[in-house]
Amino acid sequence: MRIKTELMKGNLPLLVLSLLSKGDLYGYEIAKRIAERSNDLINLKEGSLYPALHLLEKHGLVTGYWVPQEGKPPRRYYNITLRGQEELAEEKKNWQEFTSVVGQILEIQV
Amino acid sequence: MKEFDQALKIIMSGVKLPDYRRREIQREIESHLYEKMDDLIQSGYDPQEAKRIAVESLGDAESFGDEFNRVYKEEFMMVAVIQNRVVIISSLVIGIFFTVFAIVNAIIGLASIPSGPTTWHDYNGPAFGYLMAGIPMMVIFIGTIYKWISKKEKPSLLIMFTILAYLLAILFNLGSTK
Repeated sequence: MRIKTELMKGNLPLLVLSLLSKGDLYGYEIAKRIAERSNDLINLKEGSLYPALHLLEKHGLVTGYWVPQEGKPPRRYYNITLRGQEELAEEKKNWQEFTSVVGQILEIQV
Repeated sequence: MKEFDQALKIIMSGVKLPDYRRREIQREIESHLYEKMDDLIQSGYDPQEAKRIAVESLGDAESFGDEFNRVYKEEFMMVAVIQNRVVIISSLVIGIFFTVFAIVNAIIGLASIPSGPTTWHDYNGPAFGYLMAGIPMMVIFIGTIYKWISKKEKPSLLIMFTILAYLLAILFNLGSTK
């Protein structure tokens, strides 16, 4: 089973913020962690990760900074801001409520 | 660094944003491609196959561009206006008109000094100002049009702002001209 791309897209910022709350990461590392942690069930088009990161940065939820690499192009790391942490806490709460409600409805239908 | 040049060109083709933003995005995507390719090579893929998979994993260029254009929609709108052919041509036509106007005005102004310009005060009048503004602007306009026609390089944001600033300066200056 693969998680649908549309479903994934809407929740991508939440996943990114959650990963960044554990420490600074660069784009490719974020994509890898999402794939690893979901046992490859979430296999997003990696190109959609970057617009999501830039949108989070535009909204002040993360900040990006470049780190030079020897013999390779520099990496752009992302760091979650205080506002980002607050947003993550809020979104986590919303997500829990949402899944709980959906779960209840599904149990009734089953 | 030439490894992904062609792929990056295609991926970035849909990103219609100012150059500084495009450069930043391109740098980040280039880094991503290198990281991914390195990982795939270490997992046993041959470099060509690794490169192909790395590029494909980004998805299609059209949606990549659309998503970025949506993120920076204000910048996207500005670029859309500035790169619009009608806007460019009108700006150039109006700019050239005022440049010629400035130079002609300068020549008339300088010619009207009876014995020719002899003191710093003679040079420091509006005629000299018009001349100093008109000649560099004429050079910029000719260069811009030449690049646009021969090298297909659309006039840059800087040129467009220069034209706008110049136009405003001329318009404000008109009232003070005798």
